[in-house]
Amino acid sequence: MTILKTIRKPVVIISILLAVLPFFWIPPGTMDLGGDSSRLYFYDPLNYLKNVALYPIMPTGTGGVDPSYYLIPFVGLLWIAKFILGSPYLVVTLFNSFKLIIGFLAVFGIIKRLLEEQFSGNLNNPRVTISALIGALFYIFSPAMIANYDKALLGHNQVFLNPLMFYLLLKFFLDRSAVFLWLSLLVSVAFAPNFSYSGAPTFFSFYPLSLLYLLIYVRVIRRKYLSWKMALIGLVFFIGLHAFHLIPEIVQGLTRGNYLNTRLFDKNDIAQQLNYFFAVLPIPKLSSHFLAHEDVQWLGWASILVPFIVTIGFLLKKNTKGVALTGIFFLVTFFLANAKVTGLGVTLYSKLFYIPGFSMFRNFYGQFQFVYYFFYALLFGQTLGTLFLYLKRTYRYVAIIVTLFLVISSWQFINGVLINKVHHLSNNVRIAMRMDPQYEEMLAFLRSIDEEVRILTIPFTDFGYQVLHGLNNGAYVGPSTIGNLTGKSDFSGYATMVPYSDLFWKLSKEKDYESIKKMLGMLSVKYVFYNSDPLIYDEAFPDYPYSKDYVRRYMPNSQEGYLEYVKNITKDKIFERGRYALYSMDQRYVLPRFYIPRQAVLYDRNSKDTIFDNAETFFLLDRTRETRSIFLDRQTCDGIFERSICGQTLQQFSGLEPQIRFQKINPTNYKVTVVNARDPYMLVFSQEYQKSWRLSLASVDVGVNSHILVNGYANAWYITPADVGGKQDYELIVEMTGQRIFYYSAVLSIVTLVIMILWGVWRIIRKRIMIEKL
Amino acid sequence: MKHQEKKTYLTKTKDIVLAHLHAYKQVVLTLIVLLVVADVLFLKESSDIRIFGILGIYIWGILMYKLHSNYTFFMGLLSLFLMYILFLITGTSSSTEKAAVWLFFFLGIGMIQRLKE
Repeated sequence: MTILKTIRKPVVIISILLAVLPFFWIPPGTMDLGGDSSRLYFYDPLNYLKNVALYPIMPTGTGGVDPSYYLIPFVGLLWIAKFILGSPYLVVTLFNSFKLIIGFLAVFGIIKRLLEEQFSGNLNNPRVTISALIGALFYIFSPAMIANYDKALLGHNQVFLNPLMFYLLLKFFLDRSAVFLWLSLLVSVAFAPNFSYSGAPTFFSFYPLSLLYLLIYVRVIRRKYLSWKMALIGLVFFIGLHAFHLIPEIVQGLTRGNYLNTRLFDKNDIAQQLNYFFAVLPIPKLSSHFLAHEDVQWLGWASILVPFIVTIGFLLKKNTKGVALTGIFFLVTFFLANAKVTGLGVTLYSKLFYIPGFSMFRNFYGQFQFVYYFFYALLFGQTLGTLFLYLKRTYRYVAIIVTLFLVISSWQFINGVLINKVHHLSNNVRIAMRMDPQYEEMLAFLRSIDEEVRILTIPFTDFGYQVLHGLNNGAYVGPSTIGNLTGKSDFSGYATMVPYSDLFWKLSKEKDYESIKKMLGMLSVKYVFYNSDPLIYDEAFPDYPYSKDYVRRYMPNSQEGYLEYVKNITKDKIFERGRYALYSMDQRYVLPRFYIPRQAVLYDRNSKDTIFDNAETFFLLDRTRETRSIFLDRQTCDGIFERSICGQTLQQFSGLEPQIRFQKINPTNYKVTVVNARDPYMLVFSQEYQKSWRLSLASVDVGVNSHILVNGYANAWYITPADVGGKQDYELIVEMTGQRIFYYSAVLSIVTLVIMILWGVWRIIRKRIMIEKL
Repeated sequence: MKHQEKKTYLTKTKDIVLAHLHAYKQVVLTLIVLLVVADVLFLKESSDIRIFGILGIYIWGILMYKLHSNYTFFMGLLSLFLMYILFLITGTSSSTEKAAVWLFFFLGIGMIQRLKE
């Protein structure tokens, strides 16, 4: 009977409906995995964890550094979910259900709590529940929340995470209950990406304002004392729990020349972000933000309903200061999401970009719209509650009209049209795809290759995506599945092949296969993966991500042309499943990840070179047939060799070269065994040049001053017998120092987690004992 | 002596002006409404000086006539209707956007008044 009563509650009915909704969005057995940084973690969380999250080395291209440790808890939980559910379709769909339900319930809970003031604590009044329900529906169906479910990046989790954290903190501040603080900390760890550097825009757009709101609301409006001691404990726990990704990110941020450091402190970069800000400034419209659902077909005229209720709510006498406070935050976020409130507003906004880190808000309307609609929903719920206080039975009709408006105006979201979209510029190919088992066999084969190799993935794309057609009329368009899921880094598009991008296209256009083989060999490309499916190139994707005026101008324009291209650059076909084939390159060209060069081709760096065309300056200078070469710019050369050597165009390394063997311990650690090293030699490590790659012998640094950039991207150390104490046979360790910082930080996080759990358990036990005593 | 006379004259003038302004409260407030409507409907370019000038006069009006926040919210409601009608007719045109700016300011001033009341 009690269960029946509970189920009949409107909040439960709506929650059930919301849980069911995503099951109608994509067909059973399919997945929606695309987007800028892909959502491959839904498909294969374990391999994603191994190849992307656990190490800072990017799994594609030449292996740049981009720490993604924050993914570990989230992807770990997805792995457990996938283990239990068994199907990526269920994981994707249930996660969408989870987003909707939690977002809805949290906003419902917040509005209900805020309405206490107007209704003098009488929360059983059905007007409170209905106002909160409609406010919550407005939130989950607001334009910002229903958009981008098709390419929901990790930042999109803020749809439910923002209200959930707000609700838990509101309960903690109002009820002084540590349980809510404890829960909020656990939630923050589970969804660590939203509290990391990559989630900084979502974090800083919401939490500072929300915390300020909570402090003012609790202290000034509700006149309650804040538990500063508990809040401080919470802060300490928060820092400890997130140390595993925050500390490595801070170290990266403070390392000069690093991507993160540049984004934070480089003045030129700030100017670029400002240009971007002014370029996108005309996009957001103030009126659209007030009206919210103004672009709905046939019903746009009714979009005045919500702002009208909000404004009427303010005119009513039973309105409280709490509503005014929410209103002020609503307007502040309105300003932040629009920027165009008068010319003075724009000037003030642009000045904010000089605050270190504020450049993350260059795409301001996209980042602040979530927090804007959050406060809009709270304000709408509160003002609707005030309005209901004046209405007798008619409030029900108002509620029905508003609910119907919200549901109808979000119908494209509800029926899944906004989710299972057609791919941009494709020939009617949808985003929900059913994975081809034959491709899964290919992935398994690639994983089984026990070598440190790179792969060229073709057809080649504009920037670095891979297109994979499913068994249905759906396709995956996103970052390469090979790099992300097999651990074998690959080149799938222009941006991944830096600094050889332009050169590769030029050689391909000229059909200079000999040079292509030499170039790919230098990049340690040992295999070529070719997907001959006509549905990914010829017919289904005539343009994006293979633009006519971009990649198609240089690379073969049809699958037939690609087949010929593959035959010309490879030697043997070593594995084939259906339309997927793996070819091996001629071994004579392929340089291993570590090698000792026989000659150096010297060149002058061209200041006009970009990262994409850098290799064009030097690669074609080498007219010899020697594969074991390095390309060394004269400026770098001057730092380690004599001027007479650096002035030449070609320098042969004389002397007896040692034999080397290497073993990969993990992507951040290699063991290099050197035998018979009597003379100085150059050790090349074909991985993106980073100062944090460290060479050591028995824990003592080797070649610190001779760590140089060669081949336009790789690391090299010039090692003399003196560097290694005159030894001839020894074992060198090549290690990414940042990984060690991660290990220490992870230990700190685990210890904090254990302490926090024990603290929570201790509090529960203590409470029970106290209750028993009473 | 002359200075004293001038001061008395100025005080008297000020009193007369204030008395007139008090007496014609509705006229003054209607004028402000008309200024806002004129800014939205008849002036193509958006001007900060104009907006902040009218807002300055309105805030002075609030202090002078001790206007309740409801009056400001009512002004907000008028701006909302203006914005809505313009949106239906012209879409997100510059006039619609100007009306939205007025709505923003009237809501903001009203909320600050409400917190003070």
